[in-house]
Order: sequence, then structure tokens, then C-alpha cells
Amino acid sequence: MTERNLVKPDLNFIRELKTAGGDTLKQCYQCATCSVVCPQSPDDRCFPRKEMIWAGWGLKDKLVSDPDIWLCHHCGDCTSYCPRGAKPGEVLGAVRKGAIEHYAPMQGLAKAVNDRSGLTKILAVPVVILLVGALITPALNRILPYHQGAYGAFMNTWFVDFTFISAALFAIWSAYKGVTNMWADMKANSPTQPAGSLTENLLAVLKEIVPHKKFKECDVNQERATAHMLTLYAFIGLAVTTTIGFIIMYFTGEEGVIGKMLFVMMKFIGNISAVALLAGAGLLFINRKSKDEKSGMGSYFDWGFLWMVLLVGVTGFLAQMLRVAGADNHHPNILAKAVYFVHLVTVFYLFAYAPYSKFAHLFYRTTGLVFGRMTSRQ
Amino acid sequence: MEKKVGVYVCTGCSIGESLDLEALSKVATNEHKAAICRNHKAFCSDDGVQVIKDDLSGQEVHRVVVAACSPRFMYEVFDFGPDVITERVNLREHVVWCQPANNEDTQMMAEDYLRMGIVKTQKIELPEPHIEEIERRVLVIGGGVTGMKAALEAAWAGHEVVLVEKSDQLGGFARKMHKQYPKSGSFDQLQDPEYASLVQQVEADESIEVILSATMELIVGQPGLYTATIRKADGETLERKMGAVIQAAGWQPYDAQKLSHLGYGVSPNVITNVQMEEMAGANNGAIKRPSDGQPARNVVFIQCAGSRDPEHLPYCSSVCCMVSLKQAEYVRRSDPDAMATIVYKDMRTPGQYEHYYKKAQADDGIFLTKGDVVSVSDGSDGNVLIEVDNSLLGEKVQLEADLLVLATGMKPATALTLSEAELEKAVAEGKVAQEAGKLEKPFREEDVGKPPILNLDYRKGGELPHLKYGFPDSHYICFPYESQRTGVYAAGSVRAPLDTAACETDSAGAVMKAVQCLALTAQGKAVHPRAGDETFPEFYLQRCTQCKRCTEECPFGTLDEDEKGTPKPNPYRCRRCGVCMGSCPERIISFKDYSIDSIASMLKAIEVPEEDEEKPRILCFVCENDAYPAIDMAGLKRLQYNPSVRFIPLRCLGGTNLVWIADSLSSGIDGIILIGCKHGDDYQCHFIKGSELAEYRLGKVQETLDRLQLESERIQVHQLAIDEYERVPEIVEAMVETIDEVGPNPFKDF
Repeated sequence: MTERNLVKPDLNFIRELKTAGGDTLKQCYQCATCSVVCPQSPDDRCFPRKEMIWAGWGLKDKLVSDPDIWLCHHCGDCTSYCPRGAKPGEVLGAVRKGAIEHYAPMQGLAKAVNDRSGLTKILAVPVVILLVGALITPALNRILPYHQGAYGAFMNTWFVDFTFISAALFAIWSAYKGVTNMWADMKANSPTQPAGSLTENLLAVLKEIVPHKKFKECDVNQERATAHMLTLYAFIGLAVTTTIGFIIMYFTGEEGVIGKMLFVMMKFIGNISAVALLAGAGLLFINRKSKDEKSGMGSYFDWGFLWMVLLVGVTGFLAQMLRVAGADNHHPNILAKAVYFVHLVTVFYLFAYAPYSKFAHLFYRTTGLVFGRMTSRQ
Repeated sequence: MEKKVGVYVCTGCSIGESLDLEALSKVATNEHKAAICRNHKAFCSDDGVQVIKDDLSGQEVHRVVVAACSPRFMYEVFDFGPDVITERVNLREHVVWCQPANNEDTQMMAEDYLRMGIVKTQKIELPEPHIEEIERRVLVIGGGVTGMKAALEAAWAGHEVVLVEKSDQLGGFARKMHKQYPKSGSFDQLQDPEYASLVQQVEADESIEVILSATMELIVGQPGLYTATIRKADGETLERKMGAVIQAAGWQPYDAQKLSHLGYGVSPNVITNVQMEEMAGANNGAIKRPSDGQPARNVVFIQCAGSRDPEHLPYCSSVCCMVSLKQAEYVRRSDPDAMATIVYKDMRTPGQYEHYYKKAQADDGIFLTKGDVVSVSDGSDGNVLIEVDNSLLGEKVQLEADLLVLATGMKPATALTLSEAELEKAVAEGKVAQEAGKLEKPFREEDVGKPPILNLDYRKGGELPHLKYGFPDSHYICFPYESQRTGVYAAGSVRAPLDTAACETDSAGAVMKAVQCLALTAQGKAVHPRAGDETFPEFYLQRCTQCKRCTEECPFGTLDEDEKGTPKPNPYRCRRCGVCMGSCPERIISFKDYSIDSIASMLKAIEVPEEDEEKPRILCFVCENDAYPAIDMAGLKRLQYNPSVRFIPLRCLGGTNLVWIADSLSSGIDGIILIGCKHGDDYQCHFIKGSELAEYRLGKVQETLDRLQLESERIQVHQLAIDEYERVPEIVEAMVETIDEVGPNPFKDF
């Protein structure tokens, strides 16, 4: 006898998906128009038709371990062609949120990050840590050598780096746990097993991600690809900036030829990236607002994250401006300090909660794409 | 009465350009002594008709032959009232549109048709209707939604009604229902079953007599003149004079015991949709597991349980999809966390019902998938495991249910109640006749195993003849509600599987037929399918040899017999098909306007060329209902066929009398074709068996011909559906080739 899957519809998961932006999922009548118009769908076991009925039946296990949900770039082609208004694009968005929450090692945290009601608690963590930091900075500054420039006098740079490196380690641990669990589930549920070298495939996927090759195949919502690419480059630029800053601070110092060169580079890349972030996130924002008719409105999961990205950009830029505009470059005024504080809080949010918020798509999508590539689903 | 015939040859529609009009005129006036022969470029125009009307009013002519288009066109234009015999000669479709113009053969053909038309006009008489005082009361059998609505419709149409119901209350199955699926508005809200208001209206209507706890003991007579004996449960019998009967006996669920492959009997938690409905009705919507009375939270429905399955019910019952969607809503209403899964072959929610289907699709807790159920087995905790292949989920799956509902279909109440084996045993033991009818009636094979509902005193069987699935026989598209018993109409789910809304519409349809039947019968007119025909077969009984062929062959049981076997007509059962006329070897049955003599004279009027002219003549009797229009259509499509054929339409091919065959052969006709309707299970004959009877009779003739050394191939029988016009040329050609092979009729030169 062939092995049969016992199918148990899960009413609660259906309700979860519906509140997460997939409220139309039950409208699907399985005509497969979505799979036909989807520029990303492979020829066999195409999506998002099968995901739609899994969603309609609340088959959570199948959905979260499905690499295909990460092949979807949420362009909205399916949603705009769906004859029933079932908005498969939105449903897949909700499913991805479900997957991120499912694989997050701390599920309570994931729920708190992705629900409006958890926002206060979630922000309270960096706020408290950074308030403590600000309070103990005068003492710390006496003990530890610190970087004089910027906001060092307000917030001890060792403290900042310690906090953010810890947050980053937490994020890396979380992402690693989530990604490895997802990989195992994908392997268990996939009819074909991944083949080939992981590194080679990862590199190949990254080569596609950087120019947004797949994203640009989307039809209805092409402007989003550009905006998203801008945002991604901005984050890469800011990572480079941070690394240079780190080198200057702990190795070269600002003096000397190398130090000066690095300083100029840091400022140059940093500011360009900041502008790119503002432009990219702003475009994404406007795009979501104007395209809601066609490709859906998204949910707090999307909007919360987008707001946070915008805030990081705005506060980072303002913090620099206010400092430079101030009377004493080394002692910013209270407004500048406040903006800087908010900036640190939002950066913490992005860093620490990355595997729990929408930012997690960075890891999961990459994993999904690699898995898809290794099982010939591209 | 004078019989001066006026012949009017129309020259329009290319008739004038194709034929020698003067020669035609000579045929009419010289050869057949017509009083007048006129031409007009369009007799169907106001001018044209006026020409004929002037001749009639001036007493120039008394009978009219219009040689123009097919009688299927312009019949209202050429209607000169009930006192004028009007014959139509089809020169357009049957001659000039299917033959080359100005050709010797075409001209001969036109002349022959004209001869036949004039001769027929001279041979027939105006009909004299048979009129008696009739009873207009309508008997409705069955007090469900259909029966009640039928009673009301008949009452509203001004008829008294007797409504007989076998149970002790009105309402039928609707009384057991919890809710009914939406029938109005936005079609997305369940409604309370409508039977209650129908019961009220029926009880309040003074012209409806309701007889409960009663069944039909006997119905004797004919439309307008029935005597119905009704037996009540307490043994009392009532007698009522009746005009027409509406059979609304309803349905029975398909026997779930036969569905063990779908788990019926595996667990007490496998029930049918009927049981589900009764449970919901009895518990005000609460859905519980029969095994332990716990609320059912995970219910699976299997659609087409035994339906659309050649092993069980081969047809779709049309209601089960909506019923399961409705019952899924019961499940969802009884507990917001309960789930209902429906496994279907196809969801069939016709018309506005789609809105309700959409609503169910949008329900979080209703899961729908196409699928083939492979097995059903008992699981743990009284749960049932269902294995499904080909599901929408793209894999072979297993479902677990705490309650499994089999959506079984509907069988008509008239369906055989005995299995084949049981039937065989009962026949062998001689028990069947008593079971079929409670009466001491002669054994009738037709009634074997059928539930006794009507108990008609009728030589062709006491119940309505069945189609293959046990539904009363009638063509469901062409003649809905009709049965093979004139004046008895089937309505509701006994006629076809219908829901209550469709039953209500259906009852109105059947009542319309009953009302028409009574109105036409009162005027001595045929009811169906020759509605309005005032003729009736006349029997010249002095020459009857009591051979009983007519009484046996009449498809409608019109003719009973006296002790000697002489036919005793029930005229109002008659449908005027002429099968009796065809069956009579003594040729003593004829109609005023359709007789042995009129047809024989027509065929003798055909001019048969000498043998050395090498022009064969083929006579073709055609059914006027299907074959004749098909030949018209062949003309309309300008299909060309051999000019040696002459068509004579008959009311039904079953009316073909063998004397016409003999007459044709002796007058030198080389070949005879009969074209009738399709027969068999999906017969198309308007008179049920006419074409089949003709074929049977002709088989006998062919044997005789062989004995006389006259080739039996000279007679060919075909079945032709109305849309098979393209076959007309090949049918004619086949006969021409046969004659080429066997040579001309050897009697030609005698």
C-alpha cells in the first residue's frame, strides 16, 4: 500500500493566515490562473496553486517547509489576474510570515515582533539597554578609552559595540537555528533531494540576488524591484561603512594617511548609502501605498518593518546632520542626542530581531532559493 | 356537400422558374377535374390569400389545394377555417429545391405530388369530434411539496381537486428537513422548509378535498371520465369521479445497504444524507455522532455515494451537492470550531445556487476537494478513515472523520422495489400479480415488482411505464409530464430527481398539462401530441374478425375488448396516431381525414412510367413528425437526390397498413422505403412504439415477398432523427441501387 498522508485541516492556522493579510485565501477555487501567470513558477508542481489549497485547508507543515514560498517575490501578477480575488500573492506573504514565526527559535518573540500589540515590549528592550548605556557612559568613558568623535561622549562606543555585537550574535544564532531547521524540513518534505555543492549554489543564488534578476521577471509590480534593490545596496553600503568605522576605531585611528583615507571613504559610502536607503525605502513605501488595489495591502508584518527601515535611515541621516550643524561637533545638543538615541533603538530592532521580523526573509529566502536551485526548481 | 377543388400553384420561391406551369395546370383541371387552377407569384401574400378566399366565398371552390411550400410553413396563412379542407402540396422543399430546374424528371415529380394532393383532397372528409359531458376534477396522488403545489395550482385554475396522501399528514419529506437551502434572495441564507405554508393553503382551500392515510384502490375509465376508488387505512373506501390524474408519489432514497464499499455499516458513525437531515431536523440542528451522542466536530461528506455509478444509480440526482453544502453549514453552525470536508466528483450547483456554493467555499471550516474514494475503514475512537485518490491536494490522502455522511441519490417512488433475484423468485411462485396490485386483476407483466400507486384498470398495465431508471416514461425535453397514459401526468421527484423548488415549478407544469387535457377532451380534441386533432378512428365492426391486433398494438390502451375480442374504444385515451389503422388486416379502421382509402388513392395516383422508359418509381412512407421535417431540411439545404422517389407522410409510421404495400407493388412501384423515428431505449417516436411496430410488420411482409419470388430488398426500413437530413439522399440512392440490381418491378406491365 502506498503511504498516505493523513490530512488534518487546521482551522487556527487558517485564521492566523487570514489576519496576517491572507484574508481572501478561502476564495480560491483552484483554477490555477496564478500558476500560469507567475513568472517564477517552475513547470512541475507549480505554485502558488498548491499553496493556495494548502492554505485553504490550513496545512501548516506543508506550507512552512515549502521552498516555493521563497521563490515568490510577491510581484502581484497572480493577485492581479486571479478571477476570484483570492490574492495568492498576499496569501503567500502571510504564509512566509507564518514560516518565519514557525522557524524562529523563540516563538514568543516572533509573535511579539510581528504583532502591533507587542511593539512596546519589543522596543522597551533596546530603550532600557541604551538608557542604562547613556547613564553609565560618563563612568565608562573614564575607565575605557573611547572614540572622541561623534556621540561617544553621550554613549560609550565600547558599550554600543558590545551591545550590538551581542545583538548580532543573537541574531546569527537565531537565524542559524531557523535556517537549519527549515532546511531539514524542506529535505524531509521534498520529493526530490538537493544535489550539488552548497557553496557553489549559494554563490550562484547570490549572483542572482545582487542584480535582482528574479525579482525583475515580475510583471505587474516592476518598480518594486528597483526600490528593493536600492534598499539592499544601501544595507550593503551601510555594512561596509560600519566595517570601515570599526577598523578606524579599533585599528587605524583617524590620523595618518590610511586613517584619513578610510575616514573619507566611510563618510562617502555611508552618506551615499543613507541616501539610497531613504530613497529605496521611500519608494517601497509609496509603491505599497499605490499598488494596494492590485497586489494587496500587506499587514503589520510588512508595514512595521518598512517603517522601521525608514526610521533607521531618517534618524541616521538626521543624527549626522544635527551633529554637524551643532556648535560643538563633539558635544551634540539634546535634540541631536534624542535623534541618535532613536536611531540606536531602531538599529537594534533591525539587528536583534532580524530573524524574527520581515528582515528574516534575507536568510530564509536565500535558503529557499538555494534549496530550489539544488532541487531544480528554478 | 360539393367537392369542387381549387388548385393554387404558387410561382414564388423559384417554383415558377423551375416547372412547366401549364402542364401542371393540365394535370389539375383536365386529369383530375379541378374546378380551378390558378397561379400567383406569392399565394402567401395578402393578395394571394385573397384570391383563394374570393374563390371560396364565391362558391367557385369548396376544397383547396395549395401547391407551394412545405405545410410546415405558412400554416396560419393557409388556414381557411374549420369548414374548408385544405391540402398542401410541397413543391418547394420536396421538388424544386432538391431537383434540377426545368428537367423532365423534376416535372414528373411535381405532377405526381400535385396528383396525390388533389386525390387526397377528394378522398377525405371533415372530422366530426366525439363529445361527451366530462368531469373536470383533478386527482392528485401524493401530499408532499409537489402534490400540495399541484393541488393548489389546479384549484387556482378553477378545478376541484382530490388530494390523496398515504401518510397521516401532508408535507412529505420536507416535514423532516431542518432547513432548506436558499431558494430566493441573494441565495446565501438557509431557509425554513416551505411546506408549512403549503399545508395551510391546501387546508384552507375549499375546492381541495384532502384524504389522508389513503391509497388508490382502483382508477377506471378514461380522461374526463375516470372513477377513482380510494381506500383509507381504516378500510373504508371512497369513490370519486375524476377528470385527470397527477402522479406525485415522490422519491425514495437509494438503499445505502448497497454502499458497503463506502463504509456504510462499517461504523455507526457512517450515515446517509437522509439520516443526517432527519437528525438535524429532530435535534434542531445539533449534529451528533450516533455511536456516543457526542457532538460531531470533524464531518466528512462523500458525494455521489452510489450516484453516477453504473453499479448503482447511473444518473445524477441533482440535489445532493446542495444538500451536503447545506449540511456542512449545519456542522459549522452547531460548533464554530467544527469542520466539514466534502469529497466530490463534480460540484453541481446550477443557476443561482452557485451563490450558496461560493458562500461555502469562503467558510474557514468547510474544505472541498474533488477525489475518488478508495476505501473507508473503522479507525480508533469510533472515527472513520477515508482514503482518497486524485484529490485537489495533489496526492493520495487519508481523511479522518468522527462522522461520515454518504450523499446518496434519489430513486423515484415508482422504481422497482424487488431486486432481479427477488423478482424471479416471486414470478416463479406466482406471487407477483397480487403484490403488484392489491386487486384481483389479471397478471400483467408490465406491473411486475412495481409499487402499486395508481392501480389503473388499464390493459397496458396499472402503473406508468418506466424508463430504464424507473422514472415514468416520457421524453423529458420534448414532452415533460406526459406519460403513456393519456390524462395521467407525473410531477416532481417521481418524474426526475428534483429539489423542492424545482418540484413546485414541476407541479405547475403537470397541472397545465392536466388542464389542457380536460379543456381539449371536453371539445373532443386530441390532447397530445396531435393537440387539437378532432378526428377519431372509426371502426366498421360488421367486418371485424376479432383478431385483436388493434387492441394489442394500440400503444395507449385505447381499445379494450369485449368477451369475443371486439374492440371497445375509450375514445379519450386515443392519441390519433393511426397505429390501429395500420394494424388492421381487414382495413376496417379509418379516420375521416386519414384513411386506408385516402392513402391508397394517393399512391395509385402516382404515374408509373413503362418499364422501357427506365424510370423507376420509389414510394416512401415517412413519419410526419421527424422524417418529414428532415426531408424539408434537406430541401432547405439544397441537397439533391434521385428524382424517382415520392414521399407520403403518415401520422406515425406505425399506421402503415400492409395493403398499401400490396397496392404499390401491384401498381408497378419498384421499391418502397419506410422512414420512421429512432426506437429502442432512447426512442424518439411520438407514439412510443409506432416505428418499431412498422418495422416488425414489414419484416413479415419481406418474408412473404421472398416466398412470392419478389425480392424482399424492394422494401427497406430506416430510422431517421430530425437532424439527420444529410442522410436523405443516401437513403434514396440505396434503394435506386437496389432496383438497379434486382431489376424493375415484374408486375409493372400487368
